Amino acid sequence: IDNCGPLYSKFLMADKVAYNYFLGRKALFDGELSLAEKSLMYAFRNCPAECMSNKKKILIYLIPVKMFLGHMPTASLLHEYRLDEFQEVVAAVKDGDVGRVDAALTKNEPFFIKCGIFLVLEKLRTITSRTLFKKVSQIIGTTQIPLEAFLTGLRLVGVTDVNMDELECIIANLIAEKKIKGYLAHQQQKLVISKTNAFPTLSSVTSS
Amino acid sequence: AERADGEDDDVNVWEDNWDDETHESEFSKQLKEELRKGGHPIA
Repeated sequence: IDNCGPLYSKFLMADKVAYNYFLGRKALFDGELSLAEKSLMYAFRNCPAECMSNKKKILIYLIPVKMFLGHMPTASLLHEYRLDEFQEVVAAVKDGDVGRVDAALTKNEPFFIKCGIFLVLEKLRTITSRTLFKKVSQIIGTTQIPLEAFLTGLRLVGVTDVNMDELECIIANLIAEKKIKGYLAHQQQKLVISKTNAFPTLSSVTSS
Repeated sequence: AERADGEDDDVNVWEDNWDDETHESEFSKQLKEELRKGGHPIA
C-alpha cells in the first residue's frame, strides 16, 4: 500500500484509517515506536469525531505508544473516551512508583488482557524505574549515587524481589537505552551520572 | 480531506512536561524521608 504511488489518493479515508490502525498496532507489537506513533496518530486524527468507539479503539494502542515516547495522556482525554482504566497507571508512571504501576495493572488486568496490551504495558516498568531513579538522584544531589539508595527507593514502593545484581542490570539497560547518562562503578557500588541532563526527558530519547 | 500534523485540535491531550518537578509530590516527600532514614546524605 505504501508503494502504490498516486493511487493512494483515490482510497477512501475510512480504508486509510483502518490500514493505519492495523499498521500501528503491528508496529507497537514489533517495538517500532515511531512508526506506531505516526500510523496511530494518523488514524486517530482522521477518524471522524462521531465515531467515538473507533477512536477509543485507536487510543487503546496509541496511549501506550505515546507513554513510551514520554507523552502522557491527560486525565480529561482518558475520561472523555471512557478509558479510566488507564488513569491510575498513568499517575503511577509519572510518579515513578513501580509498585503502584504493578498494582494498577493487576487491578485492571482483565481489561488490559482483553485489549491485548497487558504485556506491552508491563514494559512501562522500565520508564517508571527511570523516573524513580531520577528522583532518588535528585534527592541525593551528587553525581555519585550509592546503588544502595536505589534499592531503598525500590523497597519503598514495595519492590523487594530485586537484589543488587538485578538492580545493576536494570540500570545498565537504562544506560544502554540512553535513558540515563552515566556509568556503573561496580567496585564502588555506585552509579556515576553526568553533571548535566543525566536523565534526559523521555520525549528526547526516541531511538528505541 | 486529510488532516495534516499541524492542524491538531487535540494537541493538548498529550502532556510532555510531567517530568519536571515543579512541586514536590507526596511520593517524593516519602522517598526523601525513606532515604534519610536509610542514612543517605540528602542534598
